[in-house]
This record gives sequence, C-alpha cells and structure tokens, in this order.
Amino acid sequence: MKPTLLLSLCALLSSCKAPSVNLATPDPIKVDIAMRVDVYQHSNNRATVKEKTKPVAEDPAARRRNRMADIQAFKNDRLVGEARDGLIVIVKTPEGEHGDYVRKTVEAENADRAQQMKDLAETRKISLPEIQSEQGALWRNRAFEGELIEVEIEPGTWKWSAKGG
Amino acid sequence: MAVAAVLVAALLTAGIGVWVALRELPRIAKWMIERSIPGVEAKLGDVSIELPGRLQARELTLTSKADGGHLLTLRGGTVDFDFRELAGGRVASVELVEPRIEVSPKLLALLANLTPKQTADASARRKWTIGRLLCKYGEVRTSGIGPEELKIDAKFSFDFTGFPVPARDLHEIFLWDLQASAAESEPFFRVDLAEIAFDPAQISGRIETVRIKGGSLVLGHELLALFEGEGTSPSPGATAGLTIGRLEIARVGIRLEEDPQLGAGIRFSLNTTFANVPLNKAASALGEEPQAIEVADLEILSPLDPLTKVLSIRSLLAEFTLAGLLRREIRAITVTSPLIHVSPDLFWYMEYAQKRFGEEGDGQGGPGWTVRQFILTGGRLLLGSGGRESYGLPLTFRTSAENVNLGNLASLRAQAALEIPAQQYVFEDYKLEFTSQPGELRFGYPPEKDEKNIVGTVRLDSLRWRQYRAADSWVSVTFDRSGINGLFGGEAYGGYLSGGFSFFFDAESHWVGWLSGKKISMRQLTDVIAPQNFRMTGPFDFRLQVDARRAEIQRVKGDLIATRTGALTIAKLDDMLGRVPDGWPSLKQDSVRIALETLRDFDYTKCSGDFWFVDSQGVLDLVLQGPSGSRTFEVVLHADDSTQGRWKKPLPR
Repeated sequence: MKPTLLLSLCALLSSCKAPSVNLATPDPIKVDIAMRVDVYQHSNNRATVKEKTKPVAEDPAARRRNRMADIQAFKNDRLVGEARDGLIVIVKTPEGEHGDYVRKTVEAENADRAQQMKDLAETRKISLPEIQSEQGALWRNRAFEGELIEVEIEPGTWKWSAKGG
Repeated sequence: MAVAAVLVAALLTAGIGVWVALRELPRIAKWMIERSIPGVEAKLGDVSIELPGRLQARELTLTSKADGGHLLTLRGGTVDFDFRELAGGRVASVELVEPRIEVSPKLLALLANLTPKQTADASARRKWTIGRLLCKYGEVRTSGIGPEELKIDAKFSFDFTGFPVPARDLHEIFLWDLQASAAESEPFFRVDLAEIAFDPAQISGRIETVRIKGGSLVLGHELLALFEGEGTSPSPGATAGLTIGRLEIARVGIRLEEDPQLGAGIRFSLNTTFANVPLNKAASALGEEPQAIEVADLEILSPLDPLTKVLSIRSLLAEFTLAGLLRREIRAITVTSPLIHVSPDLFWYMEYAQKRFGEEGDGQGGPGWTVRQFILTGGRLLLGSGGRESYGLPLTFRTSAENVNLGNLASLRAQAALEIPAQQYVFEDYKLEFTSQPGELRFGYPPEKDEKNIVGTVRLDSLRWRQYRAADSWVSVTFDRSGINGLFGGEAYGGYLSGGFSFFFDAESHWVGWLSGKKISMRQLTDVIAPQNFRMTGPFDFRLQVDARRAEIQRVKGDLIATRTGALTIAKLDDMLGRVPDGWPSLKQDSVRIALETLRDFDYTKCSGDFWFVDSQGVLDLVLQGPSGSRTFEVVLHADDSTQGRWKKPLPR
C-alpha cells in the first residue's frame, strides 16, 4: 500500500505546473549615492598666503599717493611749503601729537620724493641737484594760490612766500 | 749868439710845450674824444707816455651828456707806437683792458649822429692803421633796445692782426657766456661760445661767419614777443642791411616753456646752418627753417604731482619750425610707442586741461596747439604712473589724423579714437593668445556726458587661455579716476559667456570679477577640463564671482544648473574596473563591478550645484537626479591636514 500511495502522489505532482518566482520590480531599481570626498593639501599653503600679503606699499609713488591728502591738508593749513630743492619743509610746527604726526608724515614724504628723484637722476643721467632744482620749480608751478613756496627774490637769495601773494 | 739864443728859446718853448702837453694829456685826450663823439662826456683817470713809444690810459668812462647814462668803461689801454710811423698813420699795437660797453638806444643814437660828413672828414684827414688790436677780456651789455627791451650780456675777446685791414683772412671776435633776456625775466637764450668772423672792409654790409657752439634757448613768450616785434621795431642803423654769410648753430638745447597742454620736459638739441641771412631777419630765418627732430623720453607730468607721469614717449619725430612752435603749431608729429599711464593723475590731467582751456581752447593759455599731421603707432596703456608697480596691458593702438587741435578738447575727443589694429597677440608667459579685429580706444566717451575716462573696445576672433577657447568675443574696458571697469562676452563651448571686472587703481585694494555662462555644453567643457576621465553632457547655466586683493584670489563663489537632461560618466573608474583582482571570489568581483559601474554612469534629468572657495579651501556640492536614483557629491578641499574647522568633518575611521 505504501509504495502505491507514493507512486500515485508522484504522478499527481508531476502533472502539476511548478510555482513561478517573480524577481523583476515594477519600477526600475533606484540607487541613491551620496559621497563626500575630502581633498587635503599637504603643502604649507597658509604660510604662503600670508607671505603674499604685504600691507605696506613698496612703491614710493604708491606710498606718496596714500599720504597725498595729508600733505595737501598741511599745505592748506600753511604748515608746510614747497622748497626749492623739490622737497617740502615744515614752516610752522603745530604743538602736541599733531606736530609729531606732521613731522613724521613730512619726513616720510621727503624720503619718498628723494628716492623718486634719485631714480629720476639715474634714469636721465643728470645730477641729483639738477633734478631737485627742476622738481622744485615744477612743484612751485603746481602749488595752488596761497600755498607757501620758496621764492628766489634775487640770485641766490630765497624766502618763503604765499604763492600769488 | 742871437741864433743860439733863439734856439735855446725855441727848445725851451718846445720843452715847456711838451711838458705842458704831457702834464695835460688827460685833458687833451678828453677834449679830443668829446670832439670826435658829440654828446659824450669823457672821464679819464690817467694818461701817460713812456718813451720811446707807449701811451697808457686808465679808467676811461664815457657817459651821455644828456642824462649821464653810462656808455663805455675802459679799465685801461695801451698804445705802442713809433714816432717815425705816426707820420704815416700807423700804430704798432693797441690793447684794450677790460672794456665794458653799454649798448643802449643812447649809444646807438650817438653813433648814428656821427654823420657821414664827419667820418668822411676824419677819413680824409688820415687813414690810421693798427698793427695789432687786442682785447683779452671785455664785457658788452645791451639794454632798452626794442619794444621788448631786450637785454643781452656777453663777454668778448679779440686779437686782430692788422686793423682795419686784416693781415690774415678775416677778423674774429669771440663771445661767451652770452645771455639774452626780456625785461626782468630769466634769460631765454644762452650761448656758451660764439665766433664771429668778418672783413672790416665789408663790416657795414656783411658778416662772413657766425658760429654758435653750445647754449640753450627757451621757446616761450619772450621769444614770441621778439618774433612779433621783429618786423615792427626799428632796426638799429648799424645793423640795417647787414647780412650773415654763414650762420652755424650747433648743440643749442631748445626747451619749450612749460605748457599746461604739453607739460614740461620738451627738450631737443638744435643743429643747423644758414647761408646769407640778413641779420635783422636772422630770427625769422631761424624761425622758418624746417626742423626735424627726434625727441627722446618726452614726458607729460601730472598737474598735481610732477613725479607722476601721465604720458611718456620713448621717441617722437617732430617736423616744425621755431616760428611755428611759437604759434603753437607743429607741421607733423610721428609718435612711436607712446605709453599712456592710466592712473588717477591722467584723469586729473584731462580735467585740468579742460578747466584751463575750456572746450574751445580759448582759456588764458591762448590758442591750443595744432598738429597738421599726426601719426601714432605702437601705443600702449600702462596701469600705474610709471613707478615701480606698473602693469602693461596687452594691446597696442595707433592713429593718424590731420589738423588736430590739442587745445580744443571737444574737437580732440572727436578725433581721438585711437585704432587698435587687428593683430594676433601671443603672450607665452600668460599662456594667452588671441586674434583681434580692429578695435578702438576713446577718450572722454561718450562725449555728451563729459566723462573723464578712456574706453577701449576690442572684438576678438579667437581667444585661447591655457586649454580654454572662445570665439567671436569682445572686451570693453573703461578707465576712469576711480579705477578700471570691464565687461566681456563671447561664444564658448556651444553657449555664451559674459563677465566683468572692477579694479581700483590702488594696487593694495580689492577687486572683483564675475562670469556667467548660458547653455554651455558640459560635454565640450569637461572634454577640455578632464578628457577621458570625466564627462558630463547637456547644457548648463552657471555663474561665479571672484573677490581678490592684489594677485591673491580670496574667494570664489558660484552655482550651476543643468537646463536639460544629460549624463554623467566617470570614465576614470574604468581603470579601477580593469584592476579588480581575478583571485577574488566571483561574487565579490561582481559586486565591485556592479558598484563601480553604477557609480560610473548616471543619466540625470536634474542637476544643480554650488561651490565656494576661500583662500585654498572650499566646498563643491553637486546634486544629480535621474530615473535611476540620485548622486550627491560633496567635494571638500582642505588647505591643510587639520580636521578642525567649521565645515570640516572628522575623517572616517
């Protein structure tokens, strides 16, 4: 009996369709990828960046341009005047901190002017006193009415005077 | 006995006469001089005779009888003679010691009053000859001559062998330290040395040679007045009709009086020769003689700071006449390689010139300068004032014009469109190359707005910077007193790029730039940026902004967005796929391959991103979305190894 039952079961099962397993998805498979990539620079870039930054202008012309407003204010206040040698001279020194500031600013201005005139003398291959004399005349020409300039009253004799006065 | 007495008396009389004559020699000489030159009062310090034949005089002064004006001073003089030759009218030698001659209208009038009759009588009486006439040092001064009261001071010397008839060819007078000035002003003409050669027989009509060797001449208002007065002022009788056979001028430095339009520093050397020039027309002849000079290192300086240049010209070929210069007219100027120093001073200069001369050039400086023909080639712009920190721009310009009126700024601006020629530029150092179409550089543009600026516009057929290319581009840059502003645009990578920048003149200051792109083909762009490694397709729009200071880029910020669908392919991952070890289990190999291929290829429908970088660090965020999922990339660039920081994350363990 047992063998017959087993054979009958086998015959019954063999006549049945095998069950299907669906591996497909109704929608395409979606893959979301989030990536973070860290790129490290191993050179000492910070130091390099700091070295590149130089807050103080190296060019005397640029430095002079930065203090131009101060110098003009001193001229307007008749504290300084254009001398015959292309430099500026403090004619009246204010007291206190302002006086120190005027002195320091004029010193810096004259140092830069002297440097530029020296460069000019080398470029044009003429003596520094000649350049200074020429520059003195040019500065006097450019002075505004009322500003102090050094004027030659007779050959070799100079005095301070207000331009146009 | 009586005869002896008579002889003694005669000798005594003669002796007394000689004694009296010798004693009264100064008075006799004074009387003779005053008789010879009417209107003159003579003073004589001393006159003495040294036998056998020398007459010496000291301290002779001639003054005008009318007003006491000084005419001539002679510190001394010596006449050597032989009594036997005196009868024949010959004097061995005459030396004048330090004569000082004051040539004034009075002296000229006195000389003119020496009538022909007087001189003819004198000539009829005796023709004196002098074996040698010598003056080692003398001074001559003119004053009050002409409407401009021209003052001339000079030192002179001569050594005539035979006078008036020269023993050799010609007489020569040497003048040095000659200075000419008008009224009380500074000398405008200086002569180091002048040699004058003449034949005394023709002195009234001709001077053979005048050689001027070294000196300086200031072309200014004094000379202009002299030129203008030349035809109207009465010529001194002594020089009327006098002709210079040959006038040679060598090494005379000409300096143009500082002119607000042209500035200081115009100097050149004059070397020229004239033949048969009437003396009273010498200035005109000199004035009309065509000159062609090459001026080197011409500079126009800032109106506020003479140490700052606004224009410098390495070489300028000018064709002009001196008279033309005084009329502010130049026949032709050919300028090669001028440098315009673009700085605030340039625009101050433009403003100053306009205030000074007005639009029509009728300011107090008189009429403006006119250049009949003007040619300029090889011009360049230099950012800065020519100091140590100046930067040249990679463009040249040129122009040509006729009748350019430098004083009429409105007219000048209309004519002042400088052409930037079509050219191929290659700057190897900057890895920059472009081919330009003709462009232009304009001053004060647009003119109706009275702007003080320079506007340059250039179209580029092609542009390459490193591996990036653009076509049909344009750049427009405006320079004004506050700085430089530029705009540009061009076709690139299937789309259109446009951008701009803004600089201040101060090299220390910050500047900004921006760039945007429309419909840029990412395929073309990524093929250039990372060929064979990384590709995206599809058009993108993007924009970015750069903030910087000096040459240091401080911040870059921007974003991008895809305007249509595209695909991402990271082809570099193929290398990794090829290197998957064969020894791995097949499941592991397949998993890795699937993962890498998934990462490698991605079709997206949306893509956007943004980025920023500060100094050497920054973040790029890129988000792509498509039918098969999404990709989110965050790329963090760290300036160093540190994991500490606001946007930093600890490294995964």
